[in-house]
Amino acid sequence: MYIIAPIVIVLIISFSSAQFLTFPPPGYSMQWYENIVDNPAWLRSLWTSLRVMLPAGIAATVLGTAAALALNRGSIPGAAIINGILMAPLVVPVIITAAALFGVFRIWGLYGSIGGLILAHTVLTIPYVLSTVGASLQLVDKRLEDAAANLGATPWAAFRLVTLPLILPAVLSGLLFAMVISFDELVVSLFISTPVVRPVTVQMWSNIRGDVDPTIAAIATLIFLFSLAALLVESVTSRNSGRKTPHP
Amino acid sequence: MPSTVTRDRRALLVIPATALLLVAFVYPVFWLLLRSVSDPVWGAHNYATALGEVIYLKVLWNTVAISGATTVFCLLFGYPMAYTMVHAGPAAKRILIYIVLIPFWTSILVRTFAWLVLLQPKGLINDMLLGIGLIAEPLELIYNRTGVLIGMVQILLPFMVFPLFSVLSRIDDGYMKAAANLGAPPLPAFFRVYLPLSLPGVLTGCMLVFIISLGYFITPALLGGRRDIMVAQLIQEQIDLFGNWGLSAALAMILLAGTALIFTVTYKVFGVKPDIRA
Amino acid sequence: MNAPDMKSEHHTTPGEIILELRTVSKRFGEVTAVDDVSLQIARGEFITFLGPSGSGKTTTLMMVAGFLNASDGSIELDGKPLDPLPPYKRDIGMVFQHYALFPHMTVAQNIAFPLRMRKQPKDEIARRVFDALDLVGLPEHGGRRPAQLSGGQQQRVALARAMVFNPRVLLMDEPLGALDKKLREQMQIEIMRIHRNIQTTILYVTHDQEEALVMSDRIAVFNHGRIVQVDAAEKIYDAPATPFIADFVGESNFLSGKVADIADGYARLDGARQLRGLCGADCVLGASAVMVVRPERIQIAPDTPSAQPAENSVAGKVSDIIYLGQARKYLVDIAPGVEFSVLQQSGAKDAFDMPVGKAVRLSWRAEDAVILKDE
Repeated sequence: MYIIAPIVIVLIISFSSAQFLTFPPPGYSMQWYENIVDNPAWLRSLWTSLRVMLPAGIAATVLGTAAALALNRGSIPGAAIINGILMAPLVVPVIITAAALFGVFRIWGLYGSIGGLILAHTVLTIPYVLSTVGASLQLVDKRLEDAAANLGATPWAAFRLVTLPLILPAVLSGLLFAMVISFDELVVSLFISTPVVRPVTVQMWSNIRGDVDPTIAAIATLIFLFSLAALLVESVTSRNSGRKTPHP
Repeated sequence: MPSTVTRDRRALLVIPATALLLVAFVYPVFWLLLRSVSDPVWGAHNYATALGEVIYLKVLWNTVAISGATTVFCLLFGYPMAYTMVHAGPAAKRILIYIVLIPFWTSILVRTFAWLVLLQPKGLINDMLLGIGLIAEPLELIYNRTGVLIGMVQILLPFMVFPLFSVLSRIDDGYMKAAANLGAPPLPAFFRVYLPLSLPGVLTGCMLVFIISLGYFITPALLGGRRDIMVAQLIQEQIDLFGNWGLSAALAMILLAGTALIFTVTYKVFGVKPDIRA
Repeated sequence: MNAPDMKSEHHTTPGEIILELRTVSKRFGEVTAVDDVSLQIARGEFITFLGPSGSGKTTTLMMVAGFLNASDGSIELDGKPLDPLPPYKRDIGMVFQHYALFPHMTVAQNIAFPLRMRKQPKDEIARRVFDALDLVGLPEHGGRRPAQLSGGQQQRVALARAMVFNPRVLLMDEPLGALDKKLREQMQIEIMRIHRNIQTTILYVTHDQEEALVMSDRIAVFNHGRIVQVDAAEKIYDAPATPFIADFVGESNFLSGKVADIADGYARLDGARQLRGLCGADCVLGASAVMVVRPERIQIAPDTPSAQPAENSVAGKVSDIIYLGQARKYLVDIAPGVEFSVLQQSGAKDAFDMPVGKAVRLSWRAEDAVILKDE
């Protein structure tokens, strides 16, 4: 109850016909969703979030997967330190990251730009990809790659035909994870975005602090449904992969 | 040698990500931390301010107190929950896992907003309590420490439940059976056998919740009052409102040091490997 | 079974050398895993690397396959050094421990993999996959996934995959380790049959001495990173080069002493018993040595005062009897802390009733005992 109820209530309120956040709502309507569609600020911020989420998610997935592969399979001097650096954004309190990026982005001219947001979100989501893909790589028997090499596969062929198909569910779930986190991210975005380039979470934040009406509940519902969809996709792919890669 | 060459080539794949992190994370953080001794002039004055002035000390103390309370409540709720999850049937277990997982995947902002709606003086909770006549006046559930705690505990609960769940599911049923067989009634068996075995999960969970709480921003900013301000908010305000980089950086340094200290203590003293994956 | 014939054939006429290891060493930091190993393997030979875990046998195999690089020495295949070749250019088949079948591919796709890598035409691949499946007795299983097969079937697929591209040498790393005893014995015969049919060179690694004795033309016994003996199976068993081999391959009884006398290839250990045996490698006058006797070579009889002591005989007391089905094993205390084990076939004519506690006399022929330098 305590865990799940608050979200459900927001969901219901978003369809309220009342002007305020009363519960239970006196009636139901789609007016708050229409409100979003009618309001260019909300639409623009949603569009901004998408434009940040996709490149950041893809970049984090490519870089994180490559790094996971190197850390798990190559022998790297100082692997523990490198791993520490790559996982650091997860451990360092995000307020520090936010302030730090705000500081240097102003100097670099990235403050308030889509590019800056993409860069920041890539950095923030690499740890998730790295740990998801890394965990999956640990489950892939290294001997399968040895066997591929023994049977005549070049390293690239071994990766493409053996390793990648086996870690693909983890790579996809890393991508999904990265995109959801980018979409949900608030603190860093709050520091490095401007009213012109403003992701939806920042837009929502500035609205919450002003007048609260059910439009925000509608936006919150949209964000929640997006996460929920991602979670469902993730659990379906990982269940399929469970069927596909039974452990010998 | 040949196979070393192929392996070394794969090792090169770590370079892009590492380079990006060095430029767009490590350098900025050092840049920020350097402000703490160089802004506006070189010296330790920012630390003297942060640790010497009552208002700032109060904020640091708030941070520790709220984080501590959040951790305790998370443990109190999380342990029975994880225990139920481990011992539930397969179907119930699935549902319970999703109940924890769904909020975990949901934006913190959305969840905090939900509490904002519920806890208002004219919010659902007060309405209900007034309705059944339990209270005569609306309770002050928001813009104070109660609100912050209610929100933070709910939001951080998964960080307690998941490590506990993973440790508890690895405790062999045989231990409790053996304890019973050796003459221990359920409660002593639990405290002497089960609980000690679950300690690594308890420690990991507590550490995670505590260090995440320390740097928490969104929830206290929305649900807390002026008197419950935490260090992350202070940093934000100092930069945003006053451009006081030096003091912010000093506070960031203190926050980072505290986090690192707790991390190391858990790791070294208790020998628990913190698993930051959820 | 005509395997023993094959063995002697290979042993007496070693063919042309296909694989040669020259003073190969492998060090991991301070640890020397393989220490100065030299070995020549003949074309078509079935050679087994036998040794306890950590003795360097798998490490040596991994160097042949190219997954590890030798710290010293060289490995040559068909007279050409292998060292500059990465694993995927070596053309050496390998059956991995736990098989390493690709879980996301079907059986047929697994077997086709090495052929695809070699860019064989499609119909050629199909034909050879079919032949390989037939060879290992799984003609119907091409469409299944490895996880849908039993352990023994997975083993056969791994074998088919390793052979299908006609590798120059076939390596097998404990291939039967994951199977139960019955299936293991069945697969041993199967592998020997396939070896006979395709005439390939097989380098087999196992820690199971029985398996090594059954399957191999020659056995290379590994210990502490070195090869301590390379010989035909019978030679390893009958004339072990060191007490370690005597202990590791089959069961042995040991008696220590000093070499007192050497004559005509026989040596005598000092001491009251005047025990005599074949003079093994490194048996030097005055050196401390051990006499090794196999349990089944010892006669056991009740010790009666009237009995005429044979040449090599010791008195003792039965401390335990273990019934093994086809045989009975007696554990006999012959001195404080020295226990001999004696194997007696069930239903032997001269089987006396010898319960625990009974005084018995053990005797064996001098040619059934070997005297080896103490390690």
